[in-house]
Amino acid sequence: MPFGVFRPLLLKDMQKAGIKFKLWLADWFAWINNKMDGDLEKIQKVGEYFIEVWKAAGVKDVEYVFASKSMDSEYWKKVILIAKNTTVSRATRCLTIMGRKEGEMAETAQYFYPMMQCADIFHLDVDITQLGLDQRRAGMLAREVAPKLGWKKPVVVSHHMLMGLEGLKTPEGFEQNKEMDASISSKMSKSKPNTGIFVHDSKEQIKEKISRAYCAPRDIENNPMLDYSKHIIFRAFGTMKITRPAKFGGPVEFESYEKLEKAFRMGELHPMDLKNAVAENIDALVKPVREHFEKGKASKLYEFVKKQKITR
Amino acid sequence: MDIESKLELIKSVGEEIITEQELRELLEMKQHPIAYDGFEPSGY
Repeated sequence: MPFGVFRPLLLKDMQKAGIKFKLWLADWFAWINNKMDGDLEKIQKVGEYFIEVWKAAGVKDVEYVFASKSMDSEYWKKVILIAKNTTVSRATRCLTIMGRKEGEMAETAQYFYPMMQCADIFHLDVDITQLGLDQRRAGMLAREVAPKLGWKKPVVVSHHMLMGLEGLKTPEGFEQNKEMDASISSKMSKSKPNTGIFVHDSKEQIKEKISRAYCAPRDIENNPMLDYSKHIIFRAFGTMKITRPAKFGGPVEFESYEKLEKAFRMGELHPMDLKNAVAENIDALVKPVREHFEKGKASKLYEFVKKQKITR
Repeated sequence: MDIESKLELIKSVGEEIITEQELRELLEMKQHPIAYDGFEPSGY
């Protein structure tokens, strides 16, 4: 859901503001990060599948670029120039962008990763980097090296990390800022199946996962349901309807997230009713993507991806 | 869309923006700034 539903919504809003997008399919990065068993061919096929997901989610007018097809000698020159202007300790601090902690790092290849991600920004000649908060350190490194190398300094626009279904987790040390660290440590992640909803989940699966999700009455801080309402449902629909029996207050419609949050904080909205509404709305957004993969070329791609072991 | 509305929209996407002032200058200078988002193809 983070990449199949949430990011397309963000991207469309950025496009409304006149921003043009390049979507970088970081196949060599996944290879370094040992995704899909570290098999580059499999990774590239999953890249094709990603493009199909975004098309199904209604993403239009973007340029898709596969990293492996774009990395020429000019690219590698930038990688080296960045590395020459980055101390080893600075590079080490950047390694968290791979979603791993320092103790998990074992291969020198992993040190290439932040240097490459930084080079992407200059190689693609972008004005803005628009990735998740968990990637902010790459953007910050780019801003540090840009003046030294006489390159354009990017504006770093980092989006929210959707909370996992289980709610807030103990911060694992991805960021110095405690709030950011908690947010990154608690994110919905495809490598941790219990934390997420997937674009191929049936309506029943979505309902079942949401019924198990963490949602304590009146708690507005640690609440994945409110998180999805704010960042997905209100962004997509601008409003949220709650259907509930008359004896529990009858149907109600919230015209802003703030009003929904207030009602929940005051105990005027029961977690069960909130969960039902979240499940209905999320399903409405997942449905076109799910159905797109039920036939044709897309279904074959999905079959391939499904067969693979997701390594992390 | 005027600059203020564009800024509002981008600020709704960016939980953190470094820096807002530079973003404003960019929007004043360019009608269609280029952004990128990167993805590791790693399963569904």
